[in-house]
Amino acid sequence: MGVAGIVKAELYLQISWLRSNRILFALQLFWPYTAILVIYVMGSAYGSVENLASALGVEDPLLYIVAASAIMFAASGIIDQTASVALWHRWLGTLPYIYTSTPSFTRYLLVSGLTSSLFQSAFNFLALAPAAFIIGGLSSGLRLFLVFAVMIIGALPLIGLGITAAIASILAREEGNVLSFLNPLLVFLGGVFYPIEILPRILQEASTIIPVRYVVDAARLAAGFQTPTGQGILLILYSLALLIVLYNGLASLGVSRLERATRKRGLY
Amino acid sequence: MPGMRHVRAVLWLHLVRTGRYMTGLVNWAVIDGLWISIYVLGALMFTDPKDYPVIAPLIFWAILAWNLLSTPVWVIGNWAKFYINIGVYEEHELAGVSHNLFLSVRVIPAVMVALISAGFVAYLVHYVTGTNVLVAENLVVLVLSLLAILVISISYSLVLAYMAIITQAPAPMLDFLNFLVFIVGGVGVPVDSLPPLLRWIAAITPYSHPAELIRWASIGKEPYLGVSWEAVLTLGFVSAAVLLAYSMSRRATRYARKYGLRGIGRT
Repeated sequence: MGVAGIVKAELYLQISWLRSNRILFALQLFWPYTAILVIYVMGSAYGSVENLASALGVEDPLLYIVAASAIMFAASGIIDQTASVALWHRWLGTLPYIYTSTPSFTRYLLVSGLTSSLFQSAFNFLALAPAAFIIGGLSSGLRLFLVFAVMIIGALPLIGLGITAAIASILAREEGNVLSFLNPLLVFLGGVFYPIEILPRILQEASTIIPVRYVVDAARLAAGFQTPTGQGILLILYSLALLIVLYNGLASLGVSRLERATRKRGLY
Repeated sequence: MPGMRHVRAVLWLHLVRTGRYMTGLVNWAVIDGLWISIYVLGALMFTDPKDYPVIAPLIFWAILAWNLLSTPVWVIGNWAKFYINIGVYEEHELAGVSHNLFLSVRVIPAVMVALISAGFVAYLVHYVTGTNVLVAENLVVLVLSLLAILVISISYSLVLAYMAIITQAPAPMLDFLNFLVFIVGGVGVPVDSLPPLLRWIAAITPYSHPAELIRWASIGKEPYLGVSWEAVLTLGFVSAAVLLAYSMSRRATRYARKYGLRGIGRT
């Protein structure tokens, strides 16, 4: 099975899943709105949107909250679609079948993870698009689309990170979903709803290797009604490029290590 | 006395299980702490820093209350699918052990998760705002109100668990409802800060009354209906929740004995 076959199969799986789980489909559409509602209702009760605009340095805080929620759900979805899927197959007992089927395991993880991640990200951004249009019309919709474009670039290192985590889980023979902390950790260190500078120093340092941080920076530029400086954009793109090399390099090494280990002891 | 023997056995079982899955439990607490911190820090960004001494404790106790009401829903309510699917239900039925007892004792890991994650959030909020959030003007009322939330939550979780016996309860729906309760149920924000329509909804939400008492006991914020009325309503809702859980357990047990378990294979 080639790359196109895996993409087609993965898309078919995602669409079938949504079609056969109508309640969950509706819930998935509403989930990003619950995050916005919690932040907005709680924040407004204890303060004001003006304070938020000043704390985050954006001129359109409502649009920023929408974009931030889309980033949060997309980032979580990407890790779910890569790291957690491998564990899920292991629980089901289907992992050995996938491992020994015609597309190589590396190709399966990469192509399937990329397809489902992009599908989920697009789903989350589309779910929130009406909110962006209501807040600021076409201009806000385009800004959200811009953030989505950056999110696609941000997805590449996240997929590498997810695959690395999946392989670590298989090699460590870890039965529990202990890697599930990755999702909130990435969002927490990404500073989605707050400036990263308020966190303890060590967490600020850790956030420099978190791809979500740079996607969030891009979202702030988009929601700030500022003319982004060439230097600012380049810094974001260079950082993401470095992280793509780092995490996908780690994933490649991990896959080789996994293949050697499984030839020796089998896969279970 | 078989009753006490059962209590000891179930307690021992859950403690052993908690110890064996300690990594998972700590992992869960970390995950909870991180998710909660994301929302708490986000909400704090709306606040003027000079209001932190009042707002930070309010947010912290609201989050702890929500943690106490939502974690048992997963640990007891959603866990019922394993109780049913792996055949443990029948084992306990044959041994004459109360399902209420077995499921309720799951509150041990639930509370551990809630407390560990609350500790993390307290540290973080303290770091960010420089405010000590662990303040209480009336410690007794604060603890009793938190306990009231826990009892209502356990009862609600048992109702969900028994619903899984006669029907199915999709897990994401549980989380969605928890979020709704947090927003419109007067837990996350004081009832008097809500729009008029939502105040009525909050008034009939069981959790809003102990939550109002928590705000009064921590920083002295006057409850929406006054202390006495909130206390009476809290007691009323606690009693109603316990009775509902008991009646649901009897109904579900009768159903299962007659027709078998419907929840098998469903999540």
